Amino acid sequence: MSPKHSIDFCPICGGGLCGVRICGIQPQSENVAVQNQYDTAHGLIVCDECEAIWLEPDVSTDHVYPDCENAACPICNASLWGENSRWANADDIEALGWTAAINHDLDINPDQEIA
Amino acid sequence: MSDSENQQSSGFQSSGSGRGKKPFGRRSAGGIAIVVLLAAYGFAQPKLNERFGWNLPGLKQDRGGQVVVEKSDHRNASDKSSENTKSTDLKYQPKSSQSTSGSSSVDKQSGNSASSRPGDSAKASGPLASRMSPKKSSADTSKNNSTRGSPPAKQSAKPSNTPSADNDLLYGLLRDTGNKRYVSPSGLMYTPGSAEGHRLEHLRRHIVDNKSRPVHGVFDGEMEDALKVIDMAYERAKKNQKTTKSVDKGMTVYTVDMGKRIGFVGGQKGQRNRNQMARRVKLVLSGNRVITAFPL
Repeated sequence: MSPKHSIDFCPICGGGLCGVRICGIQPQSENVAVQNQYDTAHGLIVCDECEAIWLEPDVSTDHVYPDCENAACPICNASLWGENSRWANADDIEALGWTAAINHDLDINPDQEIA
Repeated sequence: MSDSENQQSSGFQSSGSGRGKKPFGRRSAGGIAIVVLLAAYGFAQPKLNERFGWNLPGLKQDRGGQVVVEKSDHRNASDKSSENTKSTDLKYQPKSSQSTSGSSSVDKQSGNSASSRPGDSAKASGPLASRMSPKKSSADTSKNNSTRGSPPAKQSAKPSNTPSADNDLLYGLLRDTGNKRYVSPSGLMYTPGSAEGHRLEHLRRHIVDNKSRPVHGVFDGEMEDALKVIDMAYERAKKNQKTTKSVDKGMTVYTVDMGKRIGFVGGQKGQRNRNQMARRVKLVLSGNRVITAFPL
């Protein structure tokens, strides 16, 4: 499970991708309208190796680490890997307003080109 | 392989006895030269092993006073490959009670009811250290095949032929401490966590190349081999041998030079660079709990 879109390599572990993760979304099974899906959404930058978390799309800012056995979002405390969270796609990133921070050289299986 | 096959007498006697017909001066000089050479070898052997990751046999004196080659625990590559076991979900299941329930392979491991927290008691200090034999890994084999270039092919899966004592160990190395927690001989804990659900499942990502990623460190061999390398890396890290260490908010990041090939650099960049070999291990720990580990 690699992030679809990342902003950088992890400055801490060196091997991970600092991917954009969107949290606070409704599970897809509930078929929530796209607009409503983002009402409570918030973005995180998460290293997919060491799990360092940044709250802004800038790895020079301060970071935190989740509990290594029960990783939770530092904003809403929901499970970091639960159904209310996912690696962000292009639409998610646009909704978060983080499009400019994406390094497309690090994209993995890009779902669509970010405008 | 029997002990007698492993133990090869050098034929040299430390007393320097030889044919009595030769002049004393020549015998004496020859004996001294042999002793000096053996002493030099005995001095250099551990350092060479340490520096280059070789497995040169040591020397010892037997009861008869003869200098003999020490019995080596290192098995040859063919022995090792025959022990390589299939990395299937079944390996997670205890031999005594195999369960088919659970979503992930680790979930299928029915941990015992005892609640054992990571870091508890002697388990965290490596109770299986004596079982961890420095077997020759497939990395050594692949090193002979290619130090740079195409990554080595993964070995074919075979059923486990490990001794019965190891049958209770996950991957022949990790002891189940309950609640899906496993402890390695060096004291590393593998626990639930990560996007994959368990750290072992996360590690599995580094057993195969992922060409969709920009860079991806890949261990040589299978899970067993990777876990052994990681354990050796941790042992080195604890001794500060060729290790850089940084601590950040309770997270410890080690970069350990293993002195020999332990994997290769994969991913897109790795492919462009013909999968350059990796000899270092990046080890990220929270206490003794493994967060991730990968070659670089």
